[in-house]
Amino acid sequence: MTDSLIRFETSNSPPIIAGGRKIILQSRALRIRLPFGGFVWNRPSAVLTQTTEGHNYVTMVHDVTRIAQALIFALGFADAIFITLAARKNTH
Amino acid sequence: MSSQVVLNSDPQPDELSNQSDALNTIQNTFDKLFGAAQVESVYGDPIKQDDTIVIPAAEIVAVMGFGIGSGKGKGEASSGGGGGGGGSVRSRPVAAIVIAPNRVRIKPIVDVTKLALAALTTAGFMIGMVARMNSKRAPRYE
Repeated sequence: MTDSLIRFETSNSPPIIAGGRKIILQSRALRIRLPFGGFVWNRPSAVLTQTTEGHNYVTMVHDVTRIAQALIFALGFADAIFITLAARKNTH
Repeated sequence: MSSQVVLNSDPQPDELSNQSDALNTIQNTFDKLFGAAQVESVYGDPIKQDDTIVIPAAEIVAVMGFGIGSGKGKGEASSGGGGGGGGSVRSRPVAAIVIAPNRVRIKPIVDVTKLALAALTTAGFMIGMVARMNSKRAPRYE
């Protein structure tokens, strides 16, 4: 087995020509290969645009659902800490 | 791509043949699993509408696990082996890439159900925590 155990891969799609621009879709994958199984997490990461003038633009693809979910849990956690500290202060 | 299979003329024990079949199956399943790491599996086929092209983008999580084993009993003839495995592939839409004639836009896809569940879980945790703290502080009349 020549593959490493954990690998981050960035892959690019073949270019799509639209309106004179070259558009390349980029994805980022985490690969974990174990002797008894494996795990792959692949997500879209960016869109690379090359104009006819030669300008390159990178537009990131953000997972809004995951960001919002993380924010909700972080707020809940921070609130829990705040309530605990406030309750301790009141008892003393 | 073509592959050629060369069979050995010497007879092989059934056990070895079964093991090799199992290993081949595992290797094929591994190859299919790691195929999910390619860029084609994340982006869908472009949909063209007039001058605009829309490309759906999704997140993919693939998990696989297996186990094989064999053993011998007390007698010479009593031996056996077996194996099993399982896996899952989950896909969730993340965004739609809209390629208009003048610009490229990324429209995020928000999973409202997932966010509502996260909010409810957090709210439940908070309410439970406050209720527990109040019950500890409340005086007991016995």
